[in-house]
Amino acid sequence: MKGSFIVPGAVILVAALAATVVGQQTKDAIPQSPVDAIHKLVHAGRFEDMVAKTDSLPLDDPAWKNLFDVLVEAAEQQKDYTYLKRKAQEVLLRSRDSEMRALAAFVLGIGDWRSGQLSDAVAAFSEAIRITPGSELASNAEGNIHEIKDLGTGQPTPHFVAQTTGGAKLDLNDLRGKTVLLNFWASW
Amino acid sequence: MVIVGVSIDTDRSAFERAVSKASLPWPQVFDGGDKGPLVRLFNARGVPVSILIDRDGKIAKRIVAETALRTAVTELLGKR
Repeated sequence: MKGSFIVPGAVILVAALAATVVGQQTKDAIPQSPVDAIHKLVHAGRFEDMVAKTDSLPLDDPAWKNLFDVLVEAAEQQKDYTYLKRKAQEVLLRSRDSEMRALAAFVLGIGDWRSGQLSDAVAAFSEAIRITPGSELASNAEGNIHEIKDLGTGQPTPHFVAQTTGGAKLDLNDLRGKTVLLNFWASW
Repeated sequence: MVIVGVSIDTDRSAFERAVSKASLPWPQVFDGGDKGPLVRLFNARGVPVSILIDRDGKIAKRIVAETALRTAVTELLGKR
């Protein structure tokens, strides 16, 4: 019988709290997306909270499309790609969306590559190509495989001939005996 | 040392304006954006990246950040 006295009070308290929260939310504008919230945690260096919040997100949530970028950023900051690779593997296994699985494979490749596991990286990038052949992502994955296999320090520079804006022919073979700095840049 | 600039711009006139404005003295190649042949050959899409090639024609270093490029060039000039 005691409960019947307490309950109305509790209901009022909860209602009051809810009213406060709603009031704050309308004042502080739109509620955050999970990606934004996790991004903020990364910026604050709160990696344990980041892991908890990320783990609570279903593996087929569309938010993963943008979340992987945030997890890459976090891994770079921590210089530890273990968590990134684990989540990429989970999404790769569980997501029903093939584009998302391809992205997860690609991200797994990035994680492997940056942690020095080159053959694993090649396998993961190949998986991304296999899942969505012909896509922009697949083309990026092909470029990364080429870089890992053929563009390492000490490897012969792939030969090229190009035309300079001055109209001269530029043949890499003609530059033997000189140190060359090939500087890719853009005006933007 | 020979410097070769490879522009990954898609807009040729924007690239030409930038070259003359900065009066860059080294040769320039206009590669035409993400699908350009040199961009593909060196997997250089999107990011400003530099490839340092040694006298034997081998890849000496892949330099990604601008500060890393400055350090590498200073080192190289100091060595001569």
